[in-house]
Amino acid sequence: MASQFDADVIVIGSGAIGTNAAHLLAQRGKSVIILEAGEWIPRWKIVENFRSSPRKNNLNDPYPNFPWGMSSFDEDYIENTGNFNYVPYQLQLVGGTTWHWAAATWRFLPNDMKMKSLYGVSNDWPMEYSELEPWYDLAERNLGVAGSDTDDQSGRSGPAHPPRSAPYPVPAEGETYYFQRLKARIGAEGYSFIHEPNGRTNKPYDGRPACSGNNNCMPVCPIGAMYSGDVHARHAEKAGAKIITDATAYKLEKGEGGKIIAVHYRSSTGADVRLTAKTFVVAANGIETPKLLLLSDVANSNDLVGRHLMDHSGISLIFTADEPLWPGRGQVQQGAIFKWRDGDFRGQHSAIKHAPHNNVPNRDVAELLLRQGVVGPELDERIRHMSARWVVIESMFETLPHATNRVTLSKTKKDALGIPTLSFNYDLDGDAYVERARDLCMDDYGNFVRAMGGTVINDKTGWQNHAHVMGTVMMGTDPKTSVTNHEGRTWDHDNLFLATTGVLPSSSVLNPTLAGIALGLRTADIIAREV
Amino acid sequence: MNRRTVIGLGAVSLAATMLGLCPVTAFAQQEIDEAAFLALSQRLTGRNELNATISARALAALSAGDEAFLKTAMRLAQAIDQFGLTDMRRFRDFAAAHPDLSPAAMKIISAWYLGYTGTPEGEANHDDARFVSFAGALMYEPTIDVTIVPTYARGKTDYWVTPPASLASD
Repeated sequence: MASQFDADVIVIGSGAIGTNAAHLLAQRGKSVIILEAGEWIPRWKIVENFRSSPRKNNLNDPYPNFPWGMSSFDEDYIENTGNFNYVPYQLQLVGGTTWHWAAATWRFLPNDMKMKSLYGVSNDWPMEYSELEPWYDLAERNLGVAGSDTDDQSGRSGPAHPPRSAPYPVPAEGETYYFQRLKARIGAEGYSFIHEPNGRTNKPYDGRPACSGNNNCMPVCPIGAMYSGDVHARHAEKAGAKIITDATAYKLEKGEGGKIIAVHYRSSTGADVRLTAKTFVVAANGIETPKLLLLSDVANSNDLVGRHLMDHSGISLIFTADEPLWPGRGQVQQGAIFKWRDGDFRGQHSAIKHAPHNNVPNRDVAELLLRQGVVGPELDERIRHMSARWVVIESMFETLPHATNRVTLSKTKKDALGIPTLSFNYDLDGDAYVERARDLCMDDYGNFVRAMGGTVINDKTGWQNHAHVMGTVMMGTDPKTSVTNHEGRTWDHDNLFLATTGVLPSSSVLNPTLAGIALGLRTADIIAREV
Repeated sequence: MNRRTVIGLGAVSLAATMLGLCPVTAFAQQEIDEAAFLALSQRLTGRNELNATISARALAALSAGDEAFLKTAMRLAQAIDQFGLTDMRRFRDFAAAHPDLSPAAMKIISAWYLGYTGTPEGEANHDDARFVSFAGALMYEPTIDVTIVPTYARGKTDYWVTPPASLASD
């Protein structure tokens, strides 16, 4: 029996969740190898890719797309069979997909983790909020999360909620004038405006500068004020972890007694390498993680890997207000509007989070005016007038885990490495739980427009992707209905752990990355005690 | 002329057109060249000065997406001269008189304002969009005292709390 290993722990994936977990393991003296399919890419190159791109609204465009590591926006990589065109946004480079998130770092509410017992839908988490709380705290310190210590994030205008063991590591940034005005007028209609906790530090933090309002959190923060996974990739390296890039994991090798004994990866030149370890952590995003499990035929004895795919599918509203608000000053988003955040209604329809967007609106405005044939001095005048009054509200709905909403391997296509590509089946139309919420959301939209003396530009967007991947390898208390236990440990292989938002068994309406990092840190702590 | 030589030539043509007297089309050409395209762009955007490098990139992008573009743009320039369109407030009249040419005019104006040609896809990597300019896109000019070209911050942390000085007149 082998007694030599290449590492104590091999972490597959160098995104925010994998590198935070790897960093903790390295700090505890474990030998750690991180495998990353992509490469290190310096921030300035991504920024220049963005600046010279003709498709500024395409979040993946500044990032790599190779035949051996295809972007999720490549039509040769993704196929869809459901009534909604599901497009995940994952990236392949050191630091992962948090390069182009907007760093919204909400905590799930205790009630979000008890959907089945409180409201009779979705799932309960296999842990209490109080068990996760210390790991939320560490995750927030790692990311330098800025937040309000007084907001009731349940939207009920009560005392600060959810409970915290420590204040936010960074105070909330100042409210934009735009947000102040929306809050004053729409808030008067009975809507709660809540500061959005975020990983965009507004004071120097862990080598990162304070946000100065570059207004480009997505697709790339040009100054690195916004947290992305490359921060802890560097920290993990300094703590002793080894990062191997250009290493696409394609097979987990099974040994005796249900153990995983090796991971096989392939480089862009086709070279294959086999590495052994005592323990393996797959932290390769909520889409690529189930892909690797399916490729390897592991952790899937109950045929649940890749199923129960949940996103915060939503819609959005664009209108112009009757006063100048000047969106575009500061960060791209700042807070949320809650009316349908938590309550018994969740047995009947989705919770809703409305998020006012604060992007410099000139492109959207100019595109609209040019489509209308506006030219000359009038074009310049109207660009200014409308840009000052432009309001975008993006709304997200909680979705339920359906076994038929899933990601599988393509049966017909392979990438340049000979690895099957992805196929999705995601249905939204006909899902009464989200359709009821959509109707209520439209009522809210009517209220928002009226409160702001507004003129609707577009309130018929149709369903939109939010790339908040959850459920695909969900955790639970029963091996028959879940892929991992509360530790992230797969039921089928006691040395194989999954650290990804894919383990979330219910979706709430909150951006799931912070929960994924907290869970990944908790998993790493459990592994550190065993290995 | 190729794109590499355009900076020097652009400066010459810019100087000539800044006089504002030159007709857009000085010679009886079939296809538009970079100098004439710059002059046409100035007329269509109402700017006395435009960047010649961006102009060359716009011309390259527009003609790459449309084989007939060089000829269409030349006919457009000639029609503008004949019509005497010097004030874009009269563009609607021109467009009514030349429905076959006004789409090309809108494409040129769009390239200058938006900084790209074609139709960019939001969730796919394959489209016909081509880059023209970012910081030089004219759509940012009308608001540049108040908001930034994204990525190019000019303020400091929390500057956004206070409304812009122009608020009362906006």
